Order: sequence, then C-alpha cells, then structure tokens
Amino acid sequence: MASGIFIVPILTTVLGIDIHTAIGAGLISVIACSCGSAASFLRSRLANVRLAIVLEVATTLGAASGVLLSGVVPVPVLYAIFAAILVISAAQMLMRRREPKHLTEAPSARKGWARRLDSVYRDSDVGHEVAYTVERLPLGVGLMYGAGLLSALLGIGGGVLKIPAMDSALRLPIKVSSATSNFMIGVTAAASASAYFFRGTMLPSIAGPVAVGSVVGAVLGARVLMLTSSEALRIFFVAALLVLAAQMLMSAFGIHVGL
Amino acid sequence: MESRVHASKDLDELLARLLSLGTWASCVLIVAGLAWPHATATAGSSGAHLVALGTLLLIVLPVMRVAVMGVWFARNREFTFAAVAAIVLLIILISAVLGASTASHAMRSD
Repeated sequence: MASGIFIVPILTTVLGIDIHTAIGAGLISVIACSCGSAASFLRSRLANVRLAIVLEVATTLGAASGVLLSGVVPVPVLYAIFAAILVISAAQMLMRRREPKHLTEAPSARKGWARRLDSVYRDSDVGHEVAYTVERLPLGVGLMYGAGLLSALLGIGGGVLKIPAMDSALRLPIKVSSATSNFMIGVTAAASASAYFFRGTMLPSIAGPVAVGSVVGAVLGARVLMLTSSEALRIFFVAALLVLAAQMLMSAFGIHVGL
Repeated sequence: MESRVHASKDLDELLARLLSLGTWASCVLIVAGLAWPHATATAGSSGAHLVALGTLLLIVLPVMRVAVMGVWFARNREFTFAAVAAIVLLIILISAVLGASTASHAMRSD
C-alpha cells in the first residue's frame, strides 16, 4: 500500500528520469492503487465514505497548493524533502501502529452533520460489529491539508502525515483508517495529476506503464503479503526506504551514483 | 443511526463497481496502446494516443467518483454532504486550471 513512495526514487535515481515527470508518474501510480483496491475496502464496509469526502476538501486544497509550490521549489530542494520523507516513513514503519485509545462513551459536544461521520464496521478479528466515533476533526483536517500538499509536491500517497492524522487526531480504528485513507488518496492525487497533465509534465509514455504495473503489483502484492512473514517484509521495506533516501540526498547535492 | 448505516450500502456498492470497472478499462487501453504495432515510443501514433487516453481515464476516475457521491447524497437528501462533494469538485477544477495556466512557465524552465 505504501508502494507509491518507491516510484519517484526508482524512476529518478535508477532510470534517470526527470523528477517532475517521475512525480507525475508517481501520482498516476497512487490513483491506480487507490482505485484498484477501493472495491474490496468498500464491499467490506471498512472505508467511511462520508468522512472521506469531508477530509478530501482539505487534501485537494493541499494538492492545489502543492501544484503551485512545485512550480517554484528548486529541484535540489525537492530531492532533499523527498529524502527526509523517506527517512520519516522508514521510522514510522519501524514503530508499530497501535490501535488508538478511544475516548469512549463520552459523546462529543458536536451536533448535526458531524455526528453522521460516526459509523460501525465489522471487525473480522473480533467477529462482530464495532461502533466508532470521529474525534478532533479540525486537527485531522489540518494534517490532511499537509498530506495533500506533500502528495502533490512529491508524487506520493502522503501516508507520512495521514497515519498520524487518522490514528492520533481522529482516533479511528486502524482498519477503518487504512481503508478510508486508501479511498481518499485517489481523489487527492487526481487533483494534482490533472494539473500536471495540463501543465505538460505528465508523460503518458511513462505514467501509463507505471499505472498498469501498479495495478498488477497491488494484486500480486496482496498475495505475497500473505505468504511472507510481515516481520521480514518490514525490515526489507525499511532498508529499501533508507537506501533510496541516501540516493535522493546525493541527487540533492548533484552526486549521481548508478546502481 | 442503524438505518443510515445500511442506507449507504448501495452507495458503497455503486462506487466499488465504478472504480474497479474504470481501473480495468484504463489498464486495457494502456496495454492495448503499448502493444500497438511499432508505436510505443513515437508520440502522435495511435498506440501513444491509447496510452494517453488510458492515463487520462485513470485521472478522471476519482473525479467521477466524487460526482457520483454528490448526486447520491443529493438524491438521499443529505444536502450537507452533497455540498461538500461539490466543493471538492470545484477545488479539483481550480487545481487543473492552475496547472494549465502555469503550463508555458513549466515548459520553458525544462
């Protein structure tokens, strides 16, 4: 699911593709993964579509800001920001995500439409339906703006900010949070991808194959995930993220090392 | 609350169908474009057009998803959420226009 973050570093440092073209392809990959896996999340009723559309106001605004910023941020700075995000992602992957402690039973002082964001989901581990409430919406919305901005600027899914937003601010159950954020990211990426398409930095000859690869990868990845131990996989991902971070940092300083 | 939760089950199913169908259609277009006889690299060929069309479809797909949600919410008298969907569509439109309006600048700097 965090595959989006690998696309841009691989395209730029391994294949030597221009970073703006790579960012466009990264966004297409994000959309492909989001749309390709949305059906299963929706049918299992894990994705909260009302919460998603509310948070998408913030993520798409962030994306529009990112589009504006990407025109003025110098390329070496882009590489440096990307390296930092890769390191933070590696750290997040090392730390286990804990089920957020619920501020239970105290009905929030919210009224009207915000109540309708609360929902229930069927937890297959517990075997029954679990009701949950959405907490601290303004903080969550703020972090989502940042996630949208990072997504548009770097061509990634923006999980780095979405995970804290959904776990710590909104206090959603992890399964609901993963499904909802996966559902949202397609729309977020569409806001910036459409801008880059019209700007002319989205090259279908590169983005197209990346899209197909992402859909196939998402299907195969789910299979591999079930066969491999998650511990080994985590170590592998952390190592890969750190290697790519080093490469991106060297690119920031104009050092190019072929693999 | 119960009734509301169940009332949106058909919305979930509708969106699931739209997104999976759209993803496959876009993949088919892109693969067909790539497989088009001696066409892959040359811009302007039929193959390249198919790849571009598939890519564009993928970009438009989430936007269609927001539009479908907006219509569904309006039909089910959830006007707050319908308005939110309309705002999201408007922001995406603004973002696309921002991209188009900075096109010449980006091309020159490349």
